[in-house]
Amino acid sequence: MGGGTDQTGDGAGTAGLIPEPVPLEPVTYTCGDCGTDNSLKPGDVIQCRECGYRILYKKRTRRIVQYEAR
Amino acid sequence: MDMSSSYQRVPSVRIREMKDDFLKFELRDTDASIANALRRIMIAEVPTLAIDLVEIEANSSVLNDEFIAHRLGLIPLKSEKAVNMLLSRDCNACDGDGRCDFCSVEFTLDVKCTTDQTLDVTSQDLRSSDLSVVPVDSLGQNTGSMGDAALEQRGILIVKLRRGQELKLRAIARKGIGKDHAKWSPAATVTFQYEPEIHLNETLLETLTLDQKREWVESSPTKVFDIDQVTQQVVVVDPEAYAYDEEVIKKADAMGKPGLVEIISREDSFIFTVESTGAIKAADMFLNAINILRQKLDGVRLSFDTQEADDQFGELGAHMRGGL
Amino acid sequence: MNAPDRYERFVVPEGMKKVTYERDMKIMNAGTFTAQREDHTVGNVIRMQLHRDRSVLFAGYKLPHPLEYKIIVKIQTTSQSSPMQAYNLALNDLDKELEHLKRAFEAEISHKQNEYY
Repeated sequence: MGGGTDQTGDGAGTAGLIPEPVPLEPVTYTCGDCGTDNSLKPGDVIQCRECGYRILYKKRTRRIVQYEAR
Repeated sequence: MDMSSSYQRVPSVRIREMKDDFLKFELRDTDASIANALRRIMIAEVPTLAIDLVEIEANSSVLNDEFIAHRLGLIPLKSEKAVNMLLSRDCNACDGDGRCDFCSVEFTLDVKCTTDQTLDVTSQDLRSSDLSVVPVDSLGQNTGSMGDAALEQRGILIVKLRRGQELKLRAIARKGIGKDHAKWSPAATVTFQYEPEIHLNETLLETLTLDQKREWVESSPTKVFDIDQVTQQVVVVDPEAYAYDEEVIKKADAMGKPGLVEIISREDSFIFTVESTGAIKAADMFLNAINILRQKLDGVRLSFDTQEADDQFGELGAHMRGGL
Repeated sequence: MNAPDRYERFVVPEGMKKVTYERDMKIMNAGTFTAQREDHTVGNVIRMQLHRDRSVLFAGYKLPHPLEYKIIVKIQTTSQSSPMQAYNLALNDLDKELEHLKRAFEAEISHKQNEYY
């Protein structure tokens, strides 16, 4: 059965990839409604601390992305 | 082994109009292949500077990263320095990443919209590490073209930001040629036309009435001829406005007077119009093009060992070895 | 997917010679020059200059394929000259002509600038 949730990682040529370690430091997410930052740890309820909105967006990566201006 | 023969031509130039970004001149006594080669080189092989690598730190605008990177690449930069710079792949000084001081110029952009009014991020917000390389259209430039001063100095619009949106990036500008990517082309337009020679047949013209003359003069889509007020004769007003559309010839045939006018294009006389984007002056563009053509022709010379190898295995060699 | 990189149009790879020459086996005083990473810009200029040479019987150039960036120039001369000589002479004459054009243009520019002041 191809596609879907293939945990062995063969499908997309990522054979041999070690699954990413669970992050120890809390990650900040932005609330969809009021825009405040919420820091969540794995296992936390997904809910904004201020307004209770249940949709949170991940922030842009800190890594600097390079593009060719073409 | 005729070493003294030379089939060299002696071209001549006469400049008609010269501004910073516009040049109109006549080129005579040379071949169309040279004129075309210079035109092609001006468009595609004169090097300039343009942003080539963009590192985006933060972008919360409505345009995505690569969209903004593409737009930054298309901003024309003043490239007087380009002639002295090396192409980044030829540069030895930098440690392989192609961004040392000798072969690149760094730009930064850091804007955030804090007001309720829409913020226009323009090319004037780009800060250069080398003040001789700035976007064309920057403050304090007199491009010589007409227009509202306020409009001129607004800069090239990159993106618009709403309150709270921000854009922060670093950009590296490198030397390149139009053949690689059109952003490096310094030319807005480069055209040349053959100079037309118009001969009116006076005797046939005599046989036309004034109305017929007027009708014939008007049949040309561009204003090439006119009726002289005093003498009531057809005169040539602007031979170069002739677009080789042959409408006047067809009209003359239709009126029953074939051969009324004879228009030939002179094969060795060209009228060039060179318009630059502002990255390089138009006159410098033409001079660079001549240098580049010379370099290219020099590059296709045979190396000494190729010539020697031919001598060895060539006619003489064949003779020595006893015939073909 | 199969498109070559843009820089292939003008960068000669390592180990490849820019110009090669091959004598024609079947015809006397004829040969073919192959210039890598060049196009109509130089090809047409060299060809037109070769046509002016009276000892050149045949001169032509072509781009065998638009996605292969090279030109081949075929020259046949009388027995008084050789394709190599004709080629070198054409290049020398073009260099002199362009040098003259450059000087004429520079003179014309300074002439125009003096007119303004």
